[in-house]
Amino acid sequence: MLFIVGASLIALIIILPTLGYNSQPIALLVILASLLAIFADIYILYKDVAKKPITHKKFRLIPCHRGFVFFGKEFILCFRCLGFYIGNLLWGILTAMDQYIWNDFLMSFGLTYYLILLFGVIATVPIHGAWLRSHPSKAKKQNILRSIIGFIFSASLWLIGGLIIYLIRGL
Amino acid sequence: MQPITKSIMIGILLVLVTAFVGGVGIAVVLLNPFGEVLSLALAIGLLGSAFISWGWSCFARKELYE
Repeated sequence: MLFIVGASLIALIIILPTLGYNSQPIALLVILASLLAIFADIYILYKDVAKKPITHKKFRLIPCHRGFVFFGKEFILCFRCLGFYIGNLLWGILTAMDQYIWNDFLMSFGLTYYLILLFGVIATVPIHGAWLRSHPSKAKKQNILRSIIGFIFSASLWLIGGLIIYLIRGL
Repeated sequence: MQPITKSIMIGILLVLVTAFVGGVGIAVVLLNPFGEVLSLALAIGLLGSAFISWGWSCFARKELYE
């Protein structure tokens, strides 16, 4: 998965300038994000994070905590990741219904409050994750608070997307 | 560097990568600036990378660095 995504991003950022898109701000942003993603993937693959093998029995697309039991079946995601994926699915459905929803949201709140909200939303998972890693005894317990944290953080992707669209249209 | 500190730093960095890369992917799919096929391919690549970073940020616990 990492190889496929990394290779496709490398191929696409090579294609973009040849098609004449390199002067657009969104193209520069895409190249920057792609490079960041590729560096993160390379770091994951070769440096530290993938140093120890994943020895879980079940196939998993992306690694996460050991499975949790829900209605007698073992799932492969922790509660926070579950909240994150459900949140993204819900925001995706919401955006598919009205693709200007984030722009309307920004306009009704104003840029300052939007940015405050964005930083607040982005800060949730780093604060919660750092707290969990500092308290190993609490890290093993799965509870609904984790799902709420993951759900709140999932909005950050969409809020950043809305902000980029606002800035690109303003330029 | 202590394993806890290292795991917290890697987790935070990967989470920020998730938010930024995923946000750009969503902007690309909504703005559609490079034509339908290329924009969709870019958005899938960026969002896929964002979700991979998210998964690894969750996985990067201190046990990995001990």
